[in-house]
Amino acid sequence: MKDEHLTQSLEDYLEAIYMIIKDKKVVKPKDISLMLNVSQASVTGALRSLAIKKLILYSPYEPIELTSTGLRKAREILRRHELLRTFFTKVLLVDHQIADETACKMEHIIPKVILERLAQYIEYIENCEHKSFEWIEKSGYKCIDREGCEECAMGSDNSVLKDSNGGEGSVSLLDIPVGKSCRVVELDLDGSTQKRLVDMGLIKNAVVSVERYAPLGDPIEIKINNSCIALRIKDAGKIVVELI
Amino acid sequence: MKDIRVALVGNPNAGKSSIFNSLTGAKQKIANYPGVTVDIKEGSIKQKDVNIVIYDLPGIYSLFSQSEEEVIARDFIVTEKIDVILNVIDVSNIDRNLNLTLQLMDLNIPMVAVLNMSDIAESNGYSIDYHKLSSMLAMPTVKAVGSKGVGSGNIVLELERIANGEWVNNYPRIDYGKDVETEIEWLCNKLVVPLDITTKYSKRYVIVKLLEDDEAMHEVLYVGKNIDLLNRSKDKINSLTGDDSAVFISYARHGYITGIVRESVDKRVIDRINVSDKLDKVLANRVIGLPIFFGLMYLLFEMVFTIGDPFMGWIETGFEILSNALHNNWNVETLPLLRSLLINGIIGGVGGVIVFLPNIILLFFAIALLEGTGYMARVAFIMDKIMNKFGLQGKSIIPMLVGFGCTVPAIMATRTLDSRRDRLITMMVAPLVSCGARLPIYALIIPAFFAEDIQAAMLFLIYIIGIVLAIIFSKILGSTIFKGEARTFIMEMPPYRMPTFKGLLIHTWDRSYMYLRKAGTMILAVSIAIWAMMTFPALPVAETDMYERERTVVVSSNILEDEKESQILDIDNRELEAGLVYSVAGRIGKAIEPPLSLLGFDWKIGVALIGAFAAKEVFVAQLGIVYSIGEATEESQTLREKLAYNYSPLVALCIMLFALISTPCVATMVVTAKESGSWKYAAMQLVGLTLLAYIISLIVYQVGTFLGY
Repeated sequence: MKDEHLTQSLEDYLEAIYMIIKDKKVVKPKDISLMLNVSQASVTGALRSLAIKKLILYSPYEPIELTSTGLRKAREILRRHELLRTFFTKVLLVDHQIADETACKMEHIIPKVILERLAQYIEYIENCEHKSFEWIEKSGYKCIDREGCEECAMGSDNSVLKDSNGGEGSVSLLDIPVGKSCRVVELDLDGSTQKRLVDMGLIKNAVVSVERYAPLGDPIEIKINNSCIALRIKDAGKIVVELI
Repeated sequence: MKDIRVALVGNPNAGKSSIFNSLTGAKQKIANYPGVTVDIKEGSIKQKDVNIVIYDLPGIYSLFSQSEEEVIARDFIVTEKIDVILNVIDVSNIDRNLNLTLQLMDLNIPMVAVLNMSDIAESNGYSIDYHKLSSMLAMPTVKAVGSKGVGSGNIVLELERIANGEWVNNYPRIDYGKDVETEIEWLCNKLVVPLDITTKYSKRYVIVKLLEDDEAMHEVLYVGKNIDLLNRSKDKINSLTGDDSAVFISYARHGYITGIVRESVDKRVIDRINVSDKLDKVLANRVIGLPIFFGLMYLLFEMVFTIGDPFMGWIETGFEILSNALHNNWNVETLPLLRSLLINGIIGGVGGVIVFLPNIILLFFAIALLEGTGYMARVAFIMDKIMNKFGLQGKSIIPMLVGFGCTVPAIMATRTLDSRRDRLITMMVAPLVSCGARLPIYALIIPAFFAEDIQAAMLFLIYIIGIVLAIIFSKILGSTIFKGEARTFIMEMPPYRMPTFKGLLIHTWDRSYMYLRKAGTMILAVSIAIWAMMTFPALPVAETDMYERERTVVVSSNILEDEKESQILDIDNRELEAGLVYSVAGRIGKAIEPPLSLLGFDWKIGVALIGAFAAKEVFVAQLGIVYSIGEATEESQTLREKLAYNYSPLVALCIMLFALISTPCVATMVVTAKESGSWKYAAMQLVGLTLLAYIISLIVYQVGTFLGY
């Protein structure tokens, strides 16, 4: 995925759309203007730019939808935000509110390499089972236990730290080449579509292989257990998977 | 003699129909239930002390009320007091099939599991411990191969046993884990559930469904105090498990299934190249998939019309002979009205519909073949992107294509669409695809008005206009009247199968029979009504006497025999014309002349259009009558000359447009009402299309006139 540069404010908009979709399923420009505390007019402008960059599907009077690229991008931004916040609260032991505000500003400019290092560092600290340091006013961070820190860097369960695509954001079914298999990590579809797919066996951890695309590129056919299922690209893009 | 009522339930493509056919043979009929727009077939098996009635329900993946089929299936089981559920399971896909089985258990009705397609599963390397599966599911299991009739005897045996009371309910209860179970128990005590629900379902079932966000349950129970209680429980489950309660429960169920399958089925993976896969490499190929599809469609039409043609000819001749026999042997003096009713009304009207029977049978056979082999699913797959652009889904292409033949089977073919919204839209726009019955109108008019070198182009243009309108209107309908019900396209691609010949014949017969039955009832009635409109009131005696006198004058004159005959024919035709003008239809034609004149039509076209409502091809014959040349055919040169003399090419174009767009015929309307389950949609189609035809012809005529054509 080429990193198409987004301005700070566009990133904020994308993030807001993602959060509202998660929360309410449907996004209206008004919700965005309320959330970001900006005027409706600037929302419309921003939505147009996002639509031009093919990150959202937007036409007036219709609900806004994220494209699969948009969804990936939004997740990536959100992950940066959460990672930074986690770093501030868990490692630096900073107050939650300041952490959140700072993360909001830093998330737009922090280079990938530093972000990944931070992730590793959080993991290191989190897994240090002795939880052996604390922050003391005026004297800084202080280590309590000096022994047995070898196991510290072993695997963490914190999903914010995990980046399933070698640092490229999450992978959807559409990123899997034809003929390859993958494991379902998460379904992010609307209620009835999700239920139907779950009924057809598409559940977390199920192994799915991509069989083929239709002649015109949509829909996609996938195989799960012994049955083949055709679904539209729009929906397949919202199925988060990992390669196996 | 005891009756037991058995519902056949299972996933789509699990082979329910083949089990149903092998159990009941040809003794089956379409069960008629009010409001049900999806067929439920009924068949029976008579044993010595029990009569088993079997209902074949639509294929479903779950009991959730998502699709029309699921609601129908569930309501049917619950309200029709089903005694036994015969759950057909495709063994080669046992995990997914058991998901439905577990949901069915919650209904606390005796069940028999039919493990279908066991031969395929075994050749795929599955070895199944039937005994263990039986005991784990707490229900009898029968190994079966529906397409070969294997297992039918054992199924009947198990049904008899249950009928004799050999059933104890000890279905396993799925443990959803402590977090969820606590909430279920808590809700059991607090939730207000009305009595009419608790008599049908257990309280536990109701609560689990509510936690799974079941829409139908929500409608009834998500009220008042219950809202808070439920939300509280759902939040709690969410915070404890990290998953939405609906998702968590379905995972728990899948986990349970995995357990059952692990215990009872030994899957040795045999790595072999699947035949289906190989076929799909060609048929659903990115490059040649589309050309192959269009090629097959072409072959299909070629087959339907070339093979059907001679049979059509025979039927046509048959009716002709019958009609002529009546005409010649039945004296005009005795019961003239009955004679006219039989010849013109009944034989003309019903015959016109039955003539299409060979085509219809062949078409339905072809569709049954496409469905039975599994190619239909590929068609939907290949065409989905295009159809999606029009606001429909891939499968809608089939009814549209069928519509070139005849709109009636096209509307019946919408049954293969699983979304009601798509089905209704397709029904509404299918008449815009120009059917075979409209061809005679174009064939009459085009040579009369247009130069030979543009005739073919003209015909093509008319067809294209129909298609373009169908596209535009499916888009418009989809975003206006039928908005909101839109469902995305998720479809199983069943493996290719060789359908059984018996199965194909049963499917073909079912549908053809419905067509025939319609011809015998509704269309008969409407034909009589239209005949009456064109016959009554009869010409006053004074006028008929006048024509009679003219004839006597000719007969007694001393001109040549040939000359006499042609003069008499002329008088006959003028009398026929006068009769039509005097009749109700003629008067209506006159009455609607003012609005029609804005399209350049006169009352004669109006009368012909009224006749065309019985069946489009009647238009030509009607026009013949009003132009006093007797009942014309589309090859009539005299009629063409008269038309060319009376109308401009612009009017001719408008006539064709109007014939193309307005409702094709009464049969279309009747079948739309039947298939949509409501006359409302038929009325909508009639009014909508007629209005559309009027508006478009109006615009074309007015703009054309303005431009000087």
